[in-house]
Amino acid sequence: MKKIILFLIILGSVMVAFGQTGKLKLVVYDSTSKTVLEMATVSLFRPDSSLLSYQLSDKNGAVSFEKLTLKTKLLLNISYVGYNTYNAPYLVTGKDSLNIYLSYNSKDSSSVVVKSVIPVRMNGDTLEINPAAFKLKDHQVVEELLNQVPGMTVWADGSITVSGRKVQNVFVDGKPFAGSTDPRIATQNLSKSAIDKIQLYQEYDRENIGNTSRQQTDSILSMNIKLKESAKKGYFGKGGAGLGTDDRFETDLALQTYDKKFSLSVGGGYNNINKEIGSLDQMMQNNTYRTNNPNLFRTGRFGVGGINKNHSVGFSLTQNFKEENNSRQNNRLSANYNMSGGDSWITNLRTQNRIVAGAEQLIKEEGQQVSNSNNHNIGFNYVKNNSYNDNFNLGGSASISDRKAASTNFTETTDAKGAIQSTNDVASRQTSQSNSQSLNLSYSKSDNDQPLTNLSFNASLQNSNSNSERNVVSVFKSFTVNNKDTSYNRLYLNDNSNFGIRANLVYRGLRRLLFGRYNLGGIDLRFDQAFNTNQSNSNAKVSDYDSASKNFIINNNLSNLNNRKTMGYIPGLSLAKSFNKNRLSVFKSLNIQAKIMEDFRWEDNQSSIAWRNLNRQMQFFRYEASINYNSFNSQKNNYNLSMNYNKNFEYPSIDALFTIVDDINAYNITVGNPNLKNTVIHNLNLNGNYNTQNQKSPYGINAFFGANYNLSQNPVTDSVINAISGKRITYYINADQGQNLNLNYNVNVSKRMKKNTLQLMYNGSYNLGNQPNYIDGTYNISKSSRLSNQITLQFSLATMLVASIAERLEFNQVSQTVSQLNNFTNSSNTTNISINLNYPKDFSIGTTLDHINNSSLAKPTVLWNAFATYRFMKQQGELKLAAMDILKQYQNITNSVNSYGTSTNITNGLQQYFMLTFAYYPRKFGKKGEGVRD
Amino acid sequence: MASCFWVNQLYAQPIEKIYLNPKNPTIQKQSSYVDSIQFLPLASVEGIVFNEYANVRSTEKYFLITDNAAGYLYIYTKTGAFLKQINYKSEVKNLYPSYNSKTNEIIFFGNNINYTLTSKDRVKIQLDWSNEHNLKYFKKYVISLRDTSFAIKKAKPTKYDLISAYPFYADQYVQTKINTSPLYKDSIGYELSVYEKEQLVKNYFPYNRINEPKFLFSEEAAGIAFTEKPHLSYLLRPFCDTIYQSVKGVLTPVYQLVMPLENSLPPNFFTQRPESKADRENFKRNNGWLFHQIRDFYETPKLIYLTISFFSHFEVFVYDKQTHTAFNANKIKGDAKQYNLSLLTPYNIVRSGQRFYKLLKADMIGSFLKQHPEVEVPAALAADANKLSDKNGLLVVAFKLKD
Repeated sequence: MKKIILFLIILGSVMVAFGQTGKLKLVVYDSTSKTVLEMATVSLFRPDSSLLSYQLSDKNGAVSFEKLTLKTKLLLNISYVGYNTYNAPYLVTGKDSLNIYLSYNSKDSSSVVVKSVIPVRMNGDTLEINPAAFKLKDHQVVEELLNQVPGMTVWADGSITVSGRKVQNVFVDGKPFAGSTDPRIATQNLSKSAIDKIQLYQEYDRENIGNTSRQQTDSILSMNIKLKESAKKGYFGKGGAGLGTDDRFETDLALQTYDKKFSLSVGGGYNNINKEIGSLDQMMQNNTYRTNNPNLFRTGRFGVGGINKNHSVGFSLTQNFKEENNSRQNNRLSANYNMSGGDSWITNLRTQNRIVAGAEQLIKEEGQQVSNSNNHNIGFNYVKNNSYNDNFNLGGSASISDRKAASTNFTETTDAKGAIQSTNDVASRQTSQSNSQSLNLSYSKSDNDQPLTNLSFNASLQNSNSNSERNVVSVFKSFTVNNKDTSYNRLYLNDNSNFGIRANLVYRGLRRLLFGRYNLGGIDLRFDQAFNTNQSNSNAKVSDYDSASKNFIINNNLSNLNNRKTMGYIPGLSLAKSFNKNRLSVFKSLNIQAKIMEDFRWEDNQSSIAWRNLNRQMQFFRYEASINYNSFNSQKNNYNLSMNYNKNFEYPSIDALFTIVDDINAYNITVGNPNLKNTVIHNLNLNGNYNTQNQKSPYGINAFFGANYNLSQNPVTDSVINAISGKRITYYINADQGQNLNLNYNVNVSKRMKKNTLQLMYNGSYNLGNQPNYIDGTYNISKSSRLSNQITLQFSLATMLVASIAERLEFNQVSQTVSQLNNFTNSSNTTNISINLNYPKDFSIGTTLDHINNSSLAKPTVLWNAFATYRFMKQQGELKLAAMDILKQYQNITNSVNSYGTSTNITNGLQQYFMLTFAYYPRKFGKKGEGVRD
Repeated sequence: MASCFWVNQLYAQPIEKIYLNPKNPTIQKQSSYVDSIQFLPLASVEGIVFNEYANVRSTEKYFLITDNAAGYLYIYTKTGAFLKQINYKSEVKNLYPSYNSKTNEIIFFGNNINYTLTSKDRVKIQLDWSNEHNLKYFKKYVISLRDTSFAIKKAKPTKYDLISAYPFYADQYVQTKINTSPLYKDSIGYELSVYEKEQLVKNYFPYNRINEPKFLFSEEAAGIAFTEKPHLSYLLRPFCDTIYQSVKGVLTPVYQLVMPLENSLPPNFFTQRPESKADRENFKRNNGWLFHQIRDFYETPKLIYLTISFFSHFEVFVYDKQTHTAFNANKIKGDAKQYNLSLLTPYNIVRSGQRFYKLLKADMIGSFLKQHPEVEVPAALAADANKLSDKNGLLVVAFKLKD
């Protein structure tokens, strides 16, 4: 706590230092004509030549700088194309007024092409940022440049907002960089010196091709990083290896090379510090160049259960067939391959308070699992579009995986007095192999001149096969009833295959087709058709060990062949109408949409178990409606409110109707119910978004609120019988109704103070479920709720210091309507402090502290990590020392809740270790490498 | 631009070249190019607010102010007295007002909001323009400025309306819309067609209206720049650098615009067909600085005023005939003599004959006068000095180019 107070004092002192200020008013004139010069760039530089602030002169040639620190010596620079640049020292004395006369540069023949140093300017509808105007070191990257641009915030998770509005796409020369959609690959790697300009503009969302209401509400804020001509070819990446105490190690490789049309990314890694490297994207994210990563993502992960030895290697390549530097036109093929896997060892101790009639039951589970897995994934994607009104996308993937696992689990149930009711001891071994293939196609087209041809189509094919062999030895002992003990040694051999096709056709030319040129009062008509078919085959051979013959004997009750075919066809008609109001910088729109559907389903299940043969046809009438209101004020704010309702149906699956009852797990014996009815689901959804739009304001705010309410009629639920022996049998039944409410909300506020940023992030969620059920024959409604809130305050002192403090609270509760059933709660709160200091030059030190209170733990647990990094070899070599879990007291603990009680789970995980890592960052942008100067 | 020179060769007379570099950085004083500035304060009326982005047009007796975003038309006398606010959007929906000086009427003409027409539909209607059935696709409303009730009255579209023809010289009407379509059976179209008594009398500048590369997948229109002299106007063609003078309906090329290579259309633009509408659109969007069309032209003995559209934007230029130099109007700065007001903007400026009209916020002059107490208050504003500090106060400013 003392540390928190100290942190806040330091933070406060820094902010107070900005208190005493002066003001400079200045008018720029042409020295000959004495006319004022509009749009002259007036810049103030600090003594170290770093940019303090800049402004463009107004219609009267005037600019005004406020909140300048008194007695500061600055450099005043005024430039205007075709004129001699004015440079002079300036001492802030108070309220200063200056008239500056610029003379025409008649001698310099190159004056016509004087290089512009305007930091930010509008070019048509595009905001352009000129990196040359921002003083940064050569090795600094785009993200650090963006941090200096007024109105722009780079958030702790790498996302970017401009005046509060989120940038949704980041492109490099109009294309996703190195084939990745993660903006950090570009912003945390590309050197500032490789950038010609950064452009911000609005794009149309291709998801909405053909929507008549396609207006400002549809626009996506996008950023394009335009590379210098000399830097359109280059490479960057990281190779690193580290060794630590307790036999910990890590190796990383990430290398990307690109030119105007082609890019190749190669990555790999091997570690036993739970670092996630399952995909190439993750490897690229882990290994970006930016030094002061405030969240220290690149370290071992302590929140992950178990000790995992992960390995991964992969590549992706992208070939652009069109050399256009915009994101409207794409003709691109990308392919990727990834091999990953690992060895995992997890131990867990799980305690659960569970509801039973008339008493409380405490369940304690202790287990461990070792596993080994290997996965191979290969995929491709081809995208072609020539405008925002057409899109063609073809993608495919294939994967092969195998897994071996062995586990033991001992469960003990006790009553409220601590007397043992039953135990279950399970040991299992499993090997499995699977493969899957998929192909996806989507095509959209819209042309106002050919309304009859406006349509969107997408289709997907999926095929998968799997087989597994699982041997389970289960021993159940009842301490309450004699002769109820069971013991099994059962072998499961499963072969499964599945093939499915889904297709969706949206035809937007219906109004033209039916009504010709008449536009039906602006109501848009759409004909939707969805089709799906699926065939799955399974062959389960189950056998029990016969100790007499010492052989496994086939179990005819559980062994079965099953062939299930399903087909669905959903034609739908939707009507939409938009109302728009456009006035200068304000745009308002209201969209109303309604849709009706007839849902046809066929199912044919053929089984070697005769009572599972089923052929059924169903038909549901479904409908949905939505209202969306958007207000966009380009000078102030943007907000969006939406509400939608839909009515849907669910029907019970064959396995819920005619369940094959397997009692190998005495605590989870499920019995089907052939009389189950269909469930009707009413869903209501409310959403609201708000963000500021004022580019002049130092504040940027964005907020989101979402609420989802579900009302189910005839939901399939459980009737649980807790047998006296301790066994638990669940029967599927229909209840009258169930309800769920989920709320999600967040508010993010950033404040820019010159080059420093203060970010306040708050997010939370509240989930409430009313689940009807029968517990030991008594009708009951379980009300479970989960409240989670997190607030984070982060302060960045330029790029030198990033410090944050966060508090996370979680509260779980389950209560019952039947008074004799018990209610349970558990809770946790975590305080996190993180500090990263990049000082002195080439050094970086950081620390994180997590203070965790859990209602299931007698005393808090603390995780304290510290890091020290030194960069050398022209900032391309890095030596890093990490001290993890310095206090050696961390425990992985999580709480959860469901209708039957609360649980606390403690797993093994990483413990204290120290690691020394060396990394090398190969980097070259263009022929001159990183030495490219502006 | 081979097609442009076709007429030049026909007339075989030398025409003056105007060299124009959009990036010319030279700053000029506005008072060297603009004079006869007049201010007219508009009466403030409670509840009526519009801003300087509305445009102002001078008619025989009134100033018409159009705030199209809000859908209002305001009528003021030439002395600035408020006469009428007309909420035209509620009545005419999507139509935009235009002023017909010949009939002294405000005309709203355009698509009937109940129908959606494709470009193919438009061609079909144009080819069948005498069919009365097609009138239902259009709406026309008229406000007669001779009738002081200024009521919006429904009118029947004329055949000239249907073919987008407008008054030219004497009783002649001119059709300037240019498009291409495979629906045309006759491949010869004309950029300019002159009608009299609804009969075609003359055609100029033929093009292939089935597949002329420069006009494919695009709707263009030749422009007519009228002057204060009824018999004199200028013809401005799309993708053409030549300016044609029309004297009593007789065309003569008078000037040719020469721009830097980076602004000039490449030769293959005139010969290679774009494959699709998207290709045409992408060419425009990827080449925003290329020349598109001269939009307005006016000359005095000393100066030439030019408005030019590039693929992505408009720019205004002033050409000094004596020094043979063209200046970008955004480099022509309002100086103290003209209250630091920059008047030659690409938007919100309407030229009517030799005069230019523009709306300005009154406090722009007010703040200048505060900073420069030595400058006299303009005579037209002296009587109502309070107006100059009114943030919502607006002025009509009229000015001329120097002779």
